[in-house]
Amino acid sequence: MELTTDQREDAAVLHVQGRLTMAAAGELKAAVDREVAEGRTLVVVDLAGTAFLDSSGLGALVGGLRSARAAGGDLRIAGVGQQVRTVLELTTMDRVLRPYATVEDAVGAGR
Amino acid sequence: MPGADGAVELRVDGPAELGWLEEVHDALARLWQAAPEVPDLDRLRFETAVIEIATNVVRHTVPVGDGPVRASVLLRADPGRLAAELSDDGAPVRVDLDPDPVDDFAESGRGIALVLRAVDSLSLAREGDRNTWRLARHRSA
Repeated sequence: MELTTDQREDAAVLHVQGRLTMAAAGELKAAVDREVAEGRTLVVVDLAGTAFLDSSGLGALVGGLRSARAAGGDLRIAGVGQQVRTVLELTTMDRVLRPYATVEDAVGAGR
Repeated sequence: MPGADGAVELRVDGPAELGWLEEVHDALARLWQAAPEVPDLDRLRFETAVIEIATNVVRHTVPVGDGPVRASVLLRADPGRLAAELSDDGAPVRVDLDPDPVDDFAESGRGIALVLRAVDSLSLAREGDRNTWRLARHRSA
């Protein structure tokens, strides 16, 4: 996985390239926690470049959601592809991590 | 590669570590190249399930003697069915194949439930000195 971050005023956009699996879950969770700790409590995870998600990667997204909500913010996912959508639907976690079509939709959806 | 019965079969052996998981991902990609007629729905669900189980082997299996655990995956695409067998020579593992649902905000415990929804059958048995997982998905018409 390759992780790049765009920092905005009170939001952060994390772009996840490659596979968000066991090997990468800890790195993503740490990155979300870092942004939240620095006050960027609206975290958007851009999954447009994410080829594969497993239950460990999903766990990291849920962990990030918890961190962001605990700080009064939110974690949103955007740009999900077919495999990521499959995992969200089969685990019914699309109820909790509702996919936004684009990063801009997710950032602009209000707090 | 494709046999007379239209089946495609691939095997990947290696130490049960992250590198082997990468090889399983690559093997799945090769399987779909060799069996391009498999619908996306089946491909995505089967692939998701195989990687979950392979990850479980890497994460939870401990060696019997001096490590590492040796793992093997056999992938097979038949005209009617996708099947995988994953085995390892580690100590016996026990996994609950009927797990209770987890809380929405739990960070783990969704893997087996995900596999059960993605494929039609899943089993784990101790065969000789190997833990052996089998999973299969009937192909959509």
